Amino acid sequence: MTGWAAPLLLSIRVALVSTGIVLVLGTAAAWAVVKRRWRGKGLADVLFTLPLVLPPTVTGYLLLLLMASRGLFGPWLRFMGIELIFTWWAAAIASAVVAFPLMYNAAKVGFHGVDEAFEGVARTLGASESRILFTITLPLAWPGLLAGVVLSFTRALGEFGATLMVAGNIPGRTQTMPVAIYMATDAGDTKTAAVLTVILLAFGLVAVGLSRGWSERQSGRRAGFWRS
Amino acid sequence: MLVASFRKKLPDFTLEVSFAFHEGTLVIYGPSGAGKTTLLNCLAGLDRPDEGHIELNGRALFASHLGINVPPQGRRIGYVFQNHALFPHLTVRQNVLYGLHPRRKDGDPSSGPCVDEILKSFGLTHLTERYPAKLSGGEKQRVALARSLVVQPNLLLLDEPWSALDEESRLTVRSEVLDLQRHRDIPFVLVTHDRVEAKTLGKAILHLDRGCASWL
Repeated sequence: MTGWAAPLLLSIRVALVSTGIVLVLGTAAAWAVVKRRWRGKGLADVLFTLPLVLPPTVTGYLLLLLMASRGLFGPWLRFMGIELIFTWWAAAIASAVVAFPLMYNAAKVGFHGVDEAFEGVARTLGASESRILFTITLPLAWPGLLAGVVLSFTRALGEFGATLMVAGNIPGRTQTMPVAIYMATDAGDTKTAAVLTVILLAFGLVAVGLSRGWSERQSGRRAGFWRS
Repeated sequence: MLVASFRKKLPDFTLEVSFAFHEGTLVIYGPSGAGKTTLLNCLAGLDRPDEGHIELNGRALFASHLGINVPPQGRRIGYVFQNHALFPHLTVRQNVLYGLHPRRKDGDPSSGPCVDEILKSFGLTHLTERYPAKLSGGEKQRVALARSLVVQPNLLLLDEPWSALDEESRLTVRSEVLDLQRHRDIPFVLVTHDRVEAKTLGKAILHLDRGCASWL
């Protein structure tokens, strides 16, 4: 395989898995924070957004403390026969942690856009909380969720610092696109670096364009609804 | 019969009401920000009073001293919101059907009037496949009423139901609601900030100002 194909495929696999993880966890966290009342919500909100402002190397170091064989979950992982460090799964977890705040915040915007009157009326009509979530809240929040998915995927695709810390740089196994760009540049392989840069640039442009369109669509529809 | 006596602390004042009400339409009248919507929300179970009790037809829905707080799903109280709150992603038919258990949508005759009859009685037959954004104010009003009555509630709450309508359709809709109340055997609680309207609508008028209730 040529120099840029293996990192591209690996990055896409890592980004897909981590996007799946943050879609479920980020949406659930945003729903709990926006639509439920509980103690400690303010602190949770801060923690959920924290990876956005932490240097990725700090996130990576903290993940090492959790996953390494002498880390917090190390003995448990070894007991279960799971080896995470220096595998592409570690890259996926690192990307998920770094992308989580993007999904979380986009989903929060989406859920805030769903007027509580809809959920209130559904309650008086006898609908259970889970039925309300799946038939009212999620369908009305989807532009925000979709924007979160696209942003998370793109962020995961570009993850460098935390990934390098926990997954390393094993060509063909854990060497993702951003890591490959760094290595190629370091080795003077400008062609591989340029190809990978163009690919990441294209993903970024498409992602930002799509999420912009969707958020406008959501606010436009809300305005249309209340203008009535 | 609705009996309610409760307090709820709001940011600027305390909502404090105590009333009993048998039949017909109870009008709650007061300026905006007087706590009218909070009062309805407490009756429906969407807000929780700090203390007191609410009882409908002899059944306790809320009783702070007994720790009873029936969730809105179990209260059988219909609620028409100020802006109708029609689900924008569902058609008129899906909106009206929302409160029915999926099993009942086929029109099990033992479980009340069939859906098509309800749609017909509200003059919605020709609108069933439309989305709320394509309805006039009066039509939205009728969909919201049909949706809340399909589940056969024991009490219907209406929050300024025609505030968004122009003068002409307001009169039409108002008489429709009064007709509806006469045909249904359930009491209505209706909120308005218009004093004249309050007097034309009901014999029982509760005046609410900064949380304090008094009979007019």
